[in-house]
Amino acid sequence: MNKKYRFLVVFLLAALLGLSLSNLSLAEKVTLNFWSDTTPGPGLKEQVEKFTNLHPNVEVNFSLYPLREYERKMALSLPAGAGPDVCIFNLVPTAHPYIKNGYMAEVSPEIMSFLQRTVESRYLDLLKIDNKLWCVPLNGPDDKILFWNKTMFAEAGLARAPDNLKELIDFACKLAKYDGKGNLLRSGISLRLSGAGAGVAEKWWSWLLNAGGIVVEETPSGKYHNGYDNQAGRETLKFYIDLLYKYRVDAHAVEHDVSAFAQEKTAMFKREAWACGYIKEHAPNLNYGIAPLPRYRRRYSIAMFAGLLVPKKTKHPKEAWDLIKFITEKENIKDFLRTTGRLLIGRKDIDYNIFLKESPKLRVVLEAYQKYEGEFFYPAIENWDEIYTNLAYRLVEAYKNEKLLDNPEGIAKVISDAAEETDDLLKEIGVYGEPEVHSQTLEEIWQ
Amino acid sequence: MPKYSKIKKRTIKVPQYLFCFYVLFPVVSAFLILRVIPISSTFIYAFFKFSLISPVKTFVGLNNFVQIAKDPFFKLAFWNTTVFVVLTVPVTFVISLILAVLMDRGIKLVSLYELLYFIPVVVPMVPVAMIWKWIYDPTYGLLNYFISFFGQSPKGWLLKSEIAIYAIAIMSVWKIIGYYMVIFLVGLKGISRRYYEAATIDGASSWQLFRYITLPLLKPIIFFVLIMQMIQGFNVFTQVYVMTMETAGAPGALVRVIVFDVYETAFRFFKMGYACSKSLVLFFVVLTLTIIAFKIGKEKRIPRRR
Repeated sequence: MNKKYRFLVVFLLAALLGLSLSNLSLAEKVTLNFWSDTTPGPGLKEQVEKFTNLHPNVEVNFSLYPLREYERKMALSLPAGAGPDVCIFNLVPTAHPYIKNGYMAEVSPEIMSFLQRTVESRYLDLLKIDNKLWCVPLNGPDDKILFWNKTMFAEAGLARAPDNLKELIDFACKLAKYDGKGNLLRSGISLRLSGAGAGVAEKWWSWLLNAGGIVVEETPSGKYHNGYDNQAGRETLKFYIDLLYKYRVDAHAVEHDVSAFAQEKTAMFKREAWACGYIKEHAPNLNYGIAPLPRYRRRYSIAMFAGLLVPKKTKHPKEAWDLIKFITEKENIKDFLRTTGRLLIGRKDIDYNIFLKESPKLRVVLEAYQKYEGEFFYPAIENWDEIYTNLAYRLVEAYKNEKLLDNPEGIAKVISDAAEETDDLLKEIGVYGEPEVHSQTLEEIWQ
Repeated sequence: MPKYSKIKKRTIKVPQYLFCFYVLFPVVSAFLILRVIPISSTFIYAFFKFSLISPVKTFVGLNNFVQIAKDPFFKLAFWNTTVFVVLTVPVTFVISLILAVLMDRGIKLVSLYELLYFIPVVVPMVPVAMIWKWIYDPTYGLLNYFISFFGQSPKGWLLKSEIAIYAIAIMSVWKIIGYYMVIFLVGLKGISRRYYEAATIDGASSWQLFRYITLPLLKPIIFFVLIMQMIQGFNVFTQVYVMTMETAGAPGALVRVIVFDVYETAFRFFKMGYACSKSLVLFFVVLTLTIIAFKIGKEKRIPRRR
């Protein structure tokens, strides 16, 4: 054979051999794509590294995205048959449309028995959609809690957090500070007055719940309608307007939320337990307390679980569920919660006393949770984001309207217009049901 | 014609056609895939109701357009976008034309001014918007610091919708005037000096030179600039998104613009058919304005004397 051809044949044979060997090694190694939004990122990364050390044949590509980016990536990739092998979602709301449209896999039998062994049945029931389980809970229920600055309170002669709405307003008035021209320097309470997402509506919902209302109410027949075109809804909007323009304890121009609290620019604000981690990192010396939200007609909280799910399109379901089981096993979930400052309620296998000894703040958080008379979860409807976002836009506009002060007709119009839109959106997806007529007043219902 | 030359002609033509095909194929394919097919799909899907995450598509006829007519957020977005166009187009036009005329007159350091005005054009919009967001910050912003010297209290430049739209318009004008200045400059350089010389000899003032020579001869450039500005204005998105969205202090929907409304409808609420119908409305609005501009700008033909 000619030298040139001999070389070509040898080269081709070598290439074929190399290819088959590499295919062989590829077949042994499994690659999982794990996507998450940034908030639980550091805690999850730690667990993923531990998992890959113990399972050298599994490579996990762990990617973090800002929340809105994450939601968009999931929306674009899953219908296209792409996307991750493991993902995280807030239940019920965000995962619901993907579950309804068949993109998510039900938990495997092994995971089901793991959940039945380790999670209280009442929480398992809360996590079910269409009577089936689709995720393993990672943290929750993330009730809303009131953070209060003890130093500022002491300066104002206040020894504890407000217990009811009247005290909240009184305390906020005493805690707010102004400059020589009357501009607010330090807010008495930091409200969520603006933003581009459903968060504005969620924060308003927290106060609405305690007034006896709800954004989307479920009927006995399993349909939905707006639950705030009533006295509770009008009172809650009035509460905001009064705080802004009558008592002037908050303003649009001052800083808000956890960053304002950490910088001591507000005396009180409402958030979830994760804010403890933020404060620990940014203001470790801040002297603050945690309390349940002040009671009005009732003391309720909005709750939400975050869970780990496996999309149906994954080629490695066994490895994906193994990773999820690893992350949520007793010792690993405790490490995750320690790192992120989050809570996971309802685990039968976790001794919370030991766990909480290490984190005194989390103990206070749990104590606050226990004072709630009940919890409400987001409704299992696919356009919940549009409903809450559109409500948020109307609320943001209302908060800027000083003319709503001492204007019950104006407030009633804002609420009824928003409620009409909510009902229209529910009708659009065919889940609208007429509300029940109550003969009792809210005080009579919630006495 | 002799047989030999016919054969030679055929063998030359076919390779030429093949060459054209091979060269144009990648470009045309890319254009079809990235432009024609998506745009055609938008036209078709505007008459359907379907979700990004659901495979079912239902034909709904004009239902989406009926919904648009009742949609308060789209109306708000349309109004905000129109206000933005009305603010930015004339201001950009006038400032860039004045700058171009000054540059054309040969002021000192003209190259330096060209560079300074063109730098904002070449910097990407996102970092520019971020920087201006900080300039407008109510607590730490340079603008509030500057107005404090005049006894003014800090303003929420991006917190109140009535101010935010002006704040964004100012930033948008600042960013783009360099681009249109250069376009006008090119047009001005194309006008023969002889016209100005002749008019000057006849005693024309500076204003008359500008009014009766510069403007008429610059007409094609002027209409190009106006049309481009209108199209860009109606497609405003990046600076509004970066400066006003996704932060706790932002006014949210109050500076809502059409493209953001389409984006949110499609990728937040997953209502793809509805988003396509909104895109179609935007397309026809811009097309109508462009046709009107062309008709107004069409030069009257003077019939030839026979």
